[in-house]
Amino acid sequence: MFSLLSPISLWLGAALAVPLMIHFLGRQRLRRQPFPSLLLVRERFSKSMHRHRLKNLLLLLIRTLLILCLLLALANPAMESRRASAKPDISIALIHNGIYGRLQPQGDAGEDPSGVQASLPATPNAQGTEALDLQWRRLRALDSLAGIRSQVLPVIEDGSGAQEVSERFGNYGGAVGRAIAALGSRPGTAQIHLPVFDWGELAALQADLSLALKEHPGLQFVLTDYGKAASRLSAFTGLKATPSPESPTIRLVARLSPEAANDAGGKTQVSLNGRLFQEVSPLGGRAEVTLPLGEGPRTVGKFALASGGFASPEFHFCFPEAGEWALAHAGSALASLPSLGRESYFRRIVHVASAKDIPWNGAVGGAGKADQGGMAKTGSRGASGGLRLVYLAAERGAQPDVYARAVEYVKRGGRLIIGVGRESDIPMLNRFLLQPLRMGRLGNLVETAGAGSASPAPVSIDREALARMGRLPVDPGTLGAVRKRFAFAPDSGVEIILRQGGVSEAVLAAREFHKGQVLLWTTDLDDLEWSDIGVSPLIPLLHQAFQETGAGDRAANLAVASDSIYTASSGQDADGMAAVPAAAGAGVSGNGTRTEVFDPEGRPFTKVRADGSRLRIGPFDRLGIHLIVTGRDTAAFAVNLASHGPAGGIRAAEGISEDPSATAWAEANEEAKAGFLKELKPFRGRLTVLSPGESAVVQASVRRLWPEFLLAALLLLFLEGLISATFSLRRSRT
Amino acid sequence: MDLNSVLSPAYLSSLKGLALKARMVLEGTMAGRHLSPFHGFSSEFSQYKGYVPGDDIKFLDWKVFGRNDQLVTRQYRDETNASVYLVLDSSASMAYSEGGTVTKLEYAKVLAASLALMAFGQRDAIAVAHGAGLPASFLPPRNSAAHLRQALQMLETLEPAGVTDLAGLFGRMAARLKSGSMTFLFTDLWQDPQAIITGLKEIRFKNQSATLVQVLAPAEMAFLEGTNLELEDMETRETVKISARHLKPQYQETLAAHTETLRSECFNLNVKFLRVETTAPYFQSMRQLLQRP
Repeated sequence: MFSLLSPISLWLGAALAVPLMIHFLGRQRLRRQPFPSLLLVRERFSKSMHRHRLKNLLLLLIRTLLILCLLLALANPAMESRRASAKPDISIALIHNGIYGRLQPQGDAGEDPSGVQASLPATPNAQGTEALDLQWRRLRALDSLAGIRSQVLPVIEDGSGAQEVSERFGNYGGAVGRAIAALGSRPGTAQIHLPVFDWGELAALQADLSLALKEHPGLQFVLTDYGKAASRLSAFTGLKATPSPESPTIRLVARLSPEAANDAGGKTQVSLNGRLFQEVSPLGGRAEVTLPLGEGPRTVGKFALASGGFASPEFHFCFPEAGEWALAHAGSALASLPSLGRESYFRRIVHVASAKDIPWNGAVGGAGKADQGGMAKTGSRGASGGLRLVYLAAERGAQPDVYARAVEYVKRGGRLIIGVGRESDIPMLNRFLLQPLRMGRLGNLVETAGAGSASPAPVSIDREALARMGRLPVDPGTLGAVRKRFAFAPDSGVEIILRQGGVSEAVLAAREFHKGQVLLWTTDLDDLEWSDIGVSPLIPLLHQAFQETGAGDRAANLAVASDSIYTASSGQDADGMAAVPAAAGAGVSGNGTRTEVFDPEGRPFTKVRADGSRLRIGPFDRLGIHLIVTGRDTAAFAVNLASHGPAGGIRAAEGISEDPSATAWAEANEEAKAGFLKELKPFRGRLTVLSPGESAVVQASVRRLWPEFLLAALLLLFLEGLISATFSLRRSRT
Repeated sequence: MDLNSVLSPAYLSSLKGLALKARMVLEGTMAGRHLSPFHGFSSEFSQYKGYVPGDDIKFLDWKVFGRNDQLVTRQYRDETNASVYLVLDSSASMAYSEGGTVTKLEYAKVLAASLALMAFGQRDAIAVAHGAGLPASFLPPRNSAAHLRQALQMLETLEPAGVTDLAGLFGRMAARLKSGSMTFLFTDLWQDPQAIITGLKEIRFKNQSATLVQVLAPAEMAFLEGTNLELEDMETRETVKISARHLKPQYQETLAAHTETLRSECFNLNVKFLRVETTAPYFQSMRQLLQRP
């Protein structure tokens, strides 16, 4: 394709009018002149005038072409060279990772992630230029999600594989300038491959790129547009996690944006801890996957579009070290959605399918593998490792020997949380667990709020009893309501921590039994038909404090933070800072211990201050687990799964949130792209925009044509002189 | 004011009266010479001349030889009764004056009038004729003051018109010539040389001497300037579009060839050929006219 690199020179095309004007105006200016006789004129007239006219026409044509050639030479014409297009002399790849996301490798999984493979012949080809066989395979993947933003790595590959530029630049400008400087005075053509994520950022370089293209006629830019793909970073507008009531699994439903949902294929990849777990096809804009729980101490998952090349927001959910702490899961799980991500809570809980699978010996496994010795060992108070906390949901069909082991577990210092639900076998529970533990007896189901009642009776707290349990917040906030519970008749020595009305209307009862301790819930924490106190931040804190009182001095300085999902709605200050209660307040500010808070990317919060017993942190703008480091100890808490904290806790609990900023960014990015390409329109033949994955080797290189036009002008000049001389010679001969 | 300036066509064109112009030209021409252009046999002594071998010894002045011991011959002013025919081409092309201040016809008229005065002074008969083809007017030869005035008046009132036909003009004039006459033909010679030669032959056969004077304007000799011209023939009104700048060399070549042809034929016919330019001072042209071939 023919193009002009300096088309502004064509304004000089007005010079073409000069010979034309002279020619035509001269023809019209005919002067009548009397003459004595045409005797001598007529004789020579016909031949001379015909030759004269022919000569004039030829000279006019030649002079016009001469000026045209000069103008075109000034306009710096260029033409794509098909021969050279397959073999650019040199290729530069600028890897830009300036996006908060992860590049998805496009090539084979087993290959080196380096993106460019090139081979350069040792000797120049017949045309005297070096040829490079470039194959663009894929981009260099980012190191991690927490990679430093706005880093540009220019990579110049030649045949020897040497990487000529290895320094990193903080922006496109430095990298492009370095790459152009590296090109130097190399002959022939060169390509610079530039993955573009943010066109707005590149548009700032428009003047520099224009200058480079103007000064280096053989230079080409191959831009791979990841901008649209980058918008898929926010392609997932929502994420909903639902624990299964029947199995230790959790169902995650990611909602895709319309653009992502319309994407061809639309395969969504779900990976866990860096490994591909499942690839699903979105249905109705929703990608659904069921994940097993308890895969490891901390599970980090990720949704990503298979074709997009970018990761979606990661989701974090953490589970305890297997065998350290156990949760007897039966029926409706305790792992309700608001608890997801609370590392400080769940890392000490092991999910098991049923009471028979409680790993009394300290290891998750079947009931047949449990033994008394293991239980005795792990049940020792203060010992490291082994079972420390058991949440036993009284399930129907539980065998008496399971309850007997639980009683023995408590006697040896274990701590047991007993939950109930619609599936609980109350008579079995009373006979084999509660009565041996001297807790009392559960009775009939009590519905505290009828069908016509607007709100059930509130749950009150026995603060003294709560304080005795451990480091709990001074103000636990609003607990919620209990709609259904079992009636409970406590034995003597049982403390009623939470109640709904009178003493007999206990919601949570506690008792020390031998070396251990027992908590009994008379309502189902995870069933909103029964109660909604399970979504309260107090509950995991209470459970954690319950087990920490048995941990002795080991957790003395452990700060327990609340979940900001709730502080965002209820506890956040006007300045956007969350008030994080610090347990007992002793280790935070009272003794001057420095407390630092880090976001999921490891960056410290700048706005952290302690006032008495509370840490004030914020504002929260990052996903995932935040770490609170106080002295040598570390606590953690989750902020949110959405990019920005929604206003309501229940909405956040559903995990669905729209992200209008992503759409706005995508539109702005497309606008910036259009503006950038418009500005560089004169170099359209040398500026190629590719889609991700599209081969970049098809680009043609540019062959400058101004020497040819200059040569043509010189030839025309010679021809003009030749014609003039020829006519003069003929005239003199005649 | 020198002679060139006084007798230049530019100066004389400001004067009125052909007789006056002719007299000034004649006086300027004769100034300092005081010699008759017509030397011959006469009883009136004219001058001495050094003897050279070949001179007739009967004209030796023996008295001078006796006094000074030098051989000189005596010369006498010739007295003739010759008729001088002044023939002017008055075709339309003679009205051309480009490059000069007077037309070719005006220039020819001054020269003819000067010759008429000179001839009258020598008591020669004067005849005047003009025309483009046929003689439009003819004044037969006579030698009288009244005739001279009539001849000068005829020349003064002469206006250019018609298409050149020198063969016809010369042929018809030849029929009216007397033997022993002198004929001066003033024309621009814009005709085919062969036709001119034909007419000249007829004149040459009828008298003893003939002088063909080609009067040309400077633009006719050097040709015009400019690139795009539409030339209009002053006689036929024919037009042609030319580039004078490109045609000029060829014109000059053709003119030279045309002149050379005529000059050669005149030489063969023993006709004196003279080309004068309308910007040349009159006395120079007169001296060329009076110069013996």
